[in-house]
Amino acid sequence: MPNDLTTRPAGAEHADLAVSRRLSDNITIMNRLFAECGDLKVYSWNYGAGLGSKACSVFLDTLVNHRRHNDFKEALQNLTTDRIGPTTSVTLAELIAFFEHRGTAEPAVELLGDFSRVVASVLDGYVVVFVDGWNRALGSLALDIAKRPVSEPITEPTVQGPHASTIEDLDSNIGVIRNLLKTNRLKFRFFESGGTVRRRIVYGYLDNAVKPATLERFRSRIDGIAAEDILDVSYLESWLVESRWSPFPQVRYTERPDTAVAALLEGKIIALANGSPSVLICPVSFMEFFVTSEDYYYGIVYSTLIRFLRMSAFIIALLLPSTYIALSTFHSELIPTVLLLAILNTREGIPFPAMVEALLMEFFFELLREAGIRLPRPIGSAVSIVGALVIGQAAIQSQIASPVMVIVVALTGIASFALPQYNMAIALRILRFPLMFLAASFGGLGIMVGFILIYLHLTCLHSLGEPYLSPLAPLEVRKLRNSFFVPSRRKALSGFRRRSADRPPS
Amino acid sequence: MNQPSSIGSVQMASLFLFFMTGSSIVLVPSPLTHEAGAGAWISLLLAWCMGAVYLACILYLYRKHPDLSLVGSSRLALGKLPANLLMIPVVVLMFWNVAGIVSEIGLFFRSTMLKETPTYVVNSLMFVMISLTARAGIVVIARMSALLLAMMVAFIVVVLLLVWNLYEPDFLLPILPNGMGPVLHAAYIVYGFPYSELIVFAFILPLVRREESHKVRKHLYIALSINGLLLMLSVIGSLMVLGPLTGDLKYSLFQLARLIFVREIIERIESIIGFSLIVGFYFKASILLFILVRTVAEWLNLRDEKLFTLPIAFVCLLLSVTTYTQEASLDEMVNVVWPLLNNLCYVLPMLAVAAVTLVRRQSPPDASRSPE
Repeated sequence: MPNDLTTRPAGAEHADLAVSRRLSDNITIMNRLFAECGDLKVYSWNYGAGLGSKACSVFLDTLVNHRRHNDFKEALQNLTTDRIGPTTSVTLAELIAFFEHRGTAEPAVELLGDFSRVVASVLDGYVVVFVDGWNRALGSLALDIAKRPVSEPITEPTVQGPHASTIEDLDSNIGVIRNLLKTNRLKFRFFESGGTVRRRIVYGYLDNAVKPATLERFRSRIDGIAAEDILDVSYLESWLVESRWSPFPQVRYTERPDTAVAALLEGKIIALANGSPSVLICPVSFMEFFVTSEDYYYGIVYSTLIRFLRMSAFIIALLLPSTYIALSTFHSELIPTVLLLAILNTREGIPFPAMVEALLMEFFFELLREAGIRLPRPIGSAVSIVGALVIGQAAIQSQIASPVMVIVVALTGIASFALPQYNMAIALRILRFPLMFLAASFGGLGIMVGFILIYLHLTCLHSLGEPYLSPLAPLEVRKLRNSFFVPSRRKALSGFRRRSADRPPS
Repeated sequence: MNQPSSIGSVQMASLFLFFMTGSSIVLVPSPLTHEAGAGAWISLLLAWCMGAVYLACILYLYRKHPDLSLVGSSRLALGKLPANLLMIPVVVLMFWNVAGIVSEIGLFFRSTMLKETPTYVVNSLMFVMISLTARAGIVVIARMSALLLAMMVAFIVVVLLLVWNLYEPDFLLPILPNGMGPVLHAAYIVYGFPYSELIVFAFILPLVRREESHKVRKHLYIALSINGLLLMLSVIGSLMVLGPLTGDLKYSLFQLARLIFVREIIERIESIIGFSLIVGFYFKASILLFILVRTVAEWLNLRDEKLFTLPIAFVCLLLSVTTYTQEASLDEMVNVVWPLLNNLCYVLPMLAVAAVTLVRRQSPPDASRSPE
């Protein structure tokens, strides 16, 4: 053992050392590498004739299953019983020969030659066994950390259809997806990212369904990501998106395995990271944000009508406050006379112009919404009660806002909740305010200008090289029909069969 | 993002339809009926035929040189220096043309909906949109066209349908109260705006994808026919509702929308219609600005045309706020000067290039070496 071990501080430089033949050296290095890590357990034991040979297990107490740890020793002993005689008669040479020729069928047992791998294995939840006189270490996977049980997806609940959600554990998520899509064309590519975090990330796609150019672009985008500390799958978004300043979401998330499977079948690429329940789906198009998996569990007429409802919710959430401002300030002749009189009546005594009134109420509403999200659940309901009183009753009685304005703000809020994807609602919340300013300055012309600029931006936007407004601009009538009207299952399936038959295997 | 910079032939045709219909659907019926009375539709037909002839000319040039714009094909036909000189009036007129469209928008708003907003504000707002759109490139413009076109056509049809109870077919007679003279005069006006303007498309036809270039001819003629049909409907609809008044009321489609009345719920919807019709103006100006920028870049051999979009747009903005501030002078401009300018600066160069190309083709292959 080099004697600079004692002089140099513990750190990464030991990690490239090879495992020594002397057990005591190995234990010293391990203790040094994991200095101050209170949960490292070093457990020495003996085997062989007269218990004369020494061995030692090293593991992080907090990561491993204790039963599994014992299992390992048991298995070792059992193996030696079956194959190379009773434990007490095992010699070191027999042990080495047994493991080096992979005499065990246990896949989770690995031979580790240097300390960088030993450290990585210990951190991954392996029990590492050093045997005196052998310059290898044996690693056996015994990871056991608490998992959240599969439950109803919190962000995307449905009435019909499966109620399972993805969880924070990567392997069980992939298992669930594989179980729903049993084909060997479903590929998953694993990689590990980051020096410190070392998060396992995986992306999956359905061979033949995904466009090769899209897949190529995806790979080139995430090329340098292995060096970064990725904490969540949403970090990938900033590598994948093309316009970082766009308010519109350019990837989509789901916590539903069935949605992920449907996306795979449509030729999307999904990405998951360990520790995050979200499944990232890309590329996306604008129209997909109006689709939920539930659309396909109901009859087509109902689903289509609901989809129209969502589209009108989008328009209301984006345009209603600005339209109200434009109408009441510039184009009051558009409002039927009786209604106009009623509105004027309620606005009497209100000191603000419609723009200020709308801004104020929208600001209150945004404030309430943010407060409601952050508060613990028992207090959350108190906020909504207070909010209802402030925004509704009190604001009208103290003549800060007119009742029509309250209706407008409330409708806008409800409409933005009706969108299935929360990300899209965020875009609308951002864009609503510039539109209100435009409407207050130029009336209908301002709204028109805002609409055209948003449309221009959406047309320029790409998601992994695919046009964002895909079936609409560039126009593809048949696909556009499918994104407005929910196609019948039979038609959708035959379309899928045709698509995958068209495409040569890549 | 490195996107292909070519578009499909249907997309080109929809741009063409937009360009021909966008502003003219609002502006044309009034001067047309002012001159020709109930015979306006005959004038429209005559002007349409001239448009079809010019379209045939630029399609001929396109068939000869599918990769060359009018700049390129004129250089090929006339030689470099004469071609460059020939392009001066074309480019100057295009500057004017963009400014003119936007001034029309400004005047439209000042005289209808935003009476107190200064024209330069509206014009600047328009130029922000137009320059951003032109800067985004032909692919984005072509992609945008589908929805906007559907919107515009839908609104035109809605207006013409909702005034159904006001139609008086009697207003269509007499067709020729004062003989053919006024009809020909009206035809000349409509020929000047919009039909002779279609020549600017000779500058961007090469942007059609190579594999679809054989379909361009068919699609452009269909687009021209739809345009003729829409203008015809608009003229006849205005005539049947407004009768002899059509000639005196500007923006006749907008005036029709003003008359819509359906059970107290749908009434006075002219603002909505007005804003939708603005889409036509905006898009026409965007297409033209794109063509202008592209032509200038090709003419002066500039490499990065995107860089020049904003300066050129700014020049057009200054032109639009300074040139025509009076409504009357703009009217005179559109009706009297514009057709003449178009003839001189758009039509003549194009005809010259087409003629030379035709002559060169008919002479023997090596004739270009020794024309004597």
